[in-house]
Amino acid sequence: MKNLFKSNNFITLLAMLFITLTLFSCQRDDAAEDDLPQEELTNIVLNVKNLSTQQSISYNYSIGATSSPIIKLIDGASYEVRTVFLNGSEDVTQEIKDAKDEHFLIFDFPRSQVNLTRLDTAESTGTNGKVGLITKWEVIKTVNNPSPLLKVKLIHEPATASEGQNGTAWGSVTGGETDAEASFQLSN
Amino acid sequence: MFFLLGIIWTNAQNTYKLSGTVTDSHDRTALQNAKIQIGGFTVTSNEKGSFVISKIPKGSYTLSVSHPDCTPFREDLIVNKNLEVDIRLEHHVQDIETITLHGNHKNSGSMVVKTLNHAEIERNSTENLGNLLSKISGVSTLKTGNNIVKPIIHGLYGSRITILNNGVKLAEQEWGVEHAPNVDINNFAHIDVIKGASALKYGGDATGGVVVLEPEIFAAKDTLKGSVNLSGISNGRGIGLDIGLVKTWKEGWAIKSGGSVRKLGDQKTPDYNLVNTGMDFSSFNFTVQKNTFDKGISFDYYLTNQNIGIYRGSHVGNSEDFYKAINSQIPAYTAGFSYHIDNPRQVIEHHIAKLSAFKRLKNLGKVTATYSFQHNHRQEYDIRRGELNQIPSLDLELMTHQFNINDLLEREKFSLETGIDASFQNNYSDPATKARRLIPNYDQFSAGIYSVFKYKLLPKLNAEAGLRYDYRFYDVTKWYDKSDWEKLYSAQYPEFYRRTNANRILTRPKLDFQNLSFNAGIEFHPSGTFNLKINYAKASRTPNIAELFSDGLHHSASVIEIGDLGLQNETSHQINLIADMKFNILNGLQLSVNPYYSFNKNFINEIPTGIQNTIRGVFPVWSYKQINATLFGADVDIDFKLTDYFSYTAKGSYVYGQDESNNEPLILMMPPNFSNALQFNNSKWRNFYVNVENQTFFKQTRFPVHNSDVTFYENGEEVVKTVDFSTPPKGYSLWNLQTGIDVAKNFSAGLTINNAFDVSYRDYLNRLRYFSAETGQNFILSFRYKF
Repeated sequence: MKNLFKSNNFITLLAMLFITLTLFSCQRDDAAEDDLPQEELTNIVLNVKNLSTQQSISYNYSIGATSSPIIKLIDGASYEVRTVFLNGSEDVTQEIKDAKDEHFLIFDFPRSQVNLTRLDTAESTGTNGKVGLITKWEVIKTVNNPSPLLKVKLIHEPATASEGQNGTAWGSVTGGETDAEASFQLSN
Repeated sequence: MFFLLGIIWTNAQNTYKLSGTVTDSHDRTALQNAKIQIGGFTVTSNEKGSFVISKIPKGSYTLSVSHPDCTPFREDLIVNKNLEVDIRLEHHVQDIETITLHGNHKNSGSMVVKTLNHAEIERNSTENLGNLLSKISGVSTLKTGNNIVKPIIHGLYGSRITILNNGVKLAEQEWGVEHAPNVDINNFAHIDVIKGASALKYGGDATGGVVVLEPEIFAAKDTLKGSVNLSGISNGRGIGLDIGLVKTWKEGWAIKSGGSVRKLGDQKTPDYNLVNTGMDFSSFNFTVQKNTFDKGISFDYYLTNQNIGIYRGSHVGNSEDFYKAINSQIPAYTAGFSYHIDNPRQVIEHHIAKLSAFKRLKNLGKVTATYSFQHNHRQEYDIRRGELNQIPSLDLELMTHQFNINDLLEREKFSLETGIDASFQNNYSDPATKARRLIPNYDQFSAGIYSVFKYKLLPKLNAEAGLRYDYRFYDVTKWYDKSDWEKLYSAQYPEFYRRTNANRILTRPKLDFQNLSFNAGIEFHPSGTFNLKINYAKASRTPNIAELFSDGLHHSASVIEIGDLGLQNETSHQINLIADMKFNILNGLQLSVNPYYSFNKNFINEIPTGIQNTIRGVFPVWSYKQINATLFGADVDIDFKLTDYFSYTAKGSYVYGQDESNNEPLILMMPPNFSNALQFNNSKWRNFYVNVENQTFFKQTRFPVHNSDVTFYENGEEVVKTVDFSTPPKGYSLWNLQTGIDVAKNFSAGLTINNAFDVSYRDYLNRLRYFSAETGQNFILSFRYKF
């Protein structure tokens, strides 16, 4: 210990500590691994089936698209609509079903008259009620006001959720956050 | 220090002479009027520090030497011959380089002492560092709920403040607004807050100030002592326990160890429970050292571990979600009390290991070398879908090595302190989070060299100047979206490009920065009742990693943050002045006034620059930009001893901050505030004291307006509503009480009541103020056993 403090040895010790510092080059092997998020949703797809004609049309909404798709809804007709979520080209709707207690869909028709009922089976019914992955739309009047549209929102972990109509929207929540939202134009 | 220059005279006499000199151990100046006592004899040293005591009968005595401003000296001495001695006393020199709120502990004639001393730390043992520091005028807190608190000094926070834990610069994610310092205040004997940029010894980038956390300096004697403190906290139904044990030996060895544990459940506002606001905290410390006056070596280890719950109702999505959250009177998330900590939460583990040695060399003065290693592991858990809820969305491992050599040379008229700093830091953002990295992986090398010169110009005037040069190099590995890279950087920085993968680009930015900082100041002390310090500093700060490379949605703020790889150094020109005055009114009035002004060029500020439509909806985008900013203000402290038992203390602060480039106020500036306290203290009643305090914060009327618009549909019509992020809440006034008494010889009890009247209020500097009120009434009862 005493020798530690003799000037020469002290300076050598300091130099050694300094040199060991410079030997560190520390980026780890996977430092260059990309960090693309895995839980992103990129597309919301509505598969709209006319219950009289049994004809099904697919409407795909994504953020990168130049314009929102136009859903054809005939006044007086009824439709069964299945909502599908994509991450890139991968269908990830099952992830929503696996976490059915955490999710709830809200369908808002601000300029139309549509009655919506949820047809979810046990597969997508959780503590918030029926998630809304399968819904029936009874269209009364598509163009109640000019430029009608549909806003679909996927809510994650709301505090409370209710299926009833809230203004022009079908379904309402308190708390929670929007995991995905889509806007579709409507026309006859 | 006691040197025996033995001049041995074998003598038939029975009385002997003791003569010698008394000098200051630091700069060898003679100490006049030192009192030297041996047996029944007392003399004082003359202007040369010399003294003579004749005709001391043969025997064994205790020699005592004392001097105002010095540690007294005592040693047993056998007088059986004539003796000549050379006594060196530890004399404390006034520090003007920094506006240290810690005066001279031993100088009873000194001006206002605003340090947080050991008693104050002990009375608030369950507090976090941020809340504790806010007891000092000019220091406010930036909070994310009540458990995550960062200090703000004169309006500046984050990377602009350096926190020194026993000489080690804390290396953590201080760049984040919701990242609190990892510190257990119970490790420290006193805390100094240096306001302003003049403490160049600690770095050039602390433009706001430095928080110096100092542990106890052990006396060289054989003792074992310790302390056990148990506290109960009503708001949160929490419990805290901290234990410390110290064993010292008179050869200068000391071993210290201890730790603390604190558990808190959900806290509550006056009206409702705050779901998920519990917290677990634990810490451990260990020190072994051998110190003598001439040399010493010390090894220290500190560990803190935290699991912090964040109010469930604060986790919102896009601007529309935010609008609904702000405008709902009743919080969406209500539940009964629970200790359970769910997501969102933060888990942080921080290790510090430090090895330090010093030696006093004859011609070089005191040389100190310090090496420290820090490992910080931060994991932030968000509300995520399904199984991803178990995986953190942020997982950062930060490893930092720091090395410093410092030389302090003190002489009668001047002192010169010079040193070199070097550090290496590596950050690893684990991709196993399956979430976007908030900051990229990087290596950082820093080096600095500094010199501070202090000179006694005149007996009543000290002057000083300091200079510092810093170099920093970042080696970063970052993935950008192809569209962003091409739009912003590909033209200017083609050399950073590595490769392309679909719509992603891998880059390896290498950036280097150089900073020159300096300061100059004077201290004028014409009498014992007036002291004036003025200093000017130019400090330069390198942009931090978040300012350069932020890229993505910051969930807890519902904001997309974009850094700028092209940011330059920030420069601050500051003038700080502090006048301390003492008046002979009643039992003594001390007044301290500290005005300050700073002009900041290339000040890095986050401002909204647009919106981005994502699959999650619309979010505001905030970018880091460089502006010119002016900050000025004043702190006032009053300490008025009314009678032997009653004293009155008051503090007031005002800060003005302006973004000169965009002609608007700076965001998150502390509102004007003041506090008044009346204390009753009677040492004869078992050290009973009672302190009643009122704190008043005015509404902040100077704030930038940066709101978001949200479109709703009412009756088929589009209606645009504004999400008001900007308007500060109303002012508020709180009453607090602190009282304590020594129950028995080693056993004391204390009670703190915060927000005694359970007032419901919101704090502008709490980022979660949109979602809930602040916590209500809180009773903290603690019992301390010291031995």
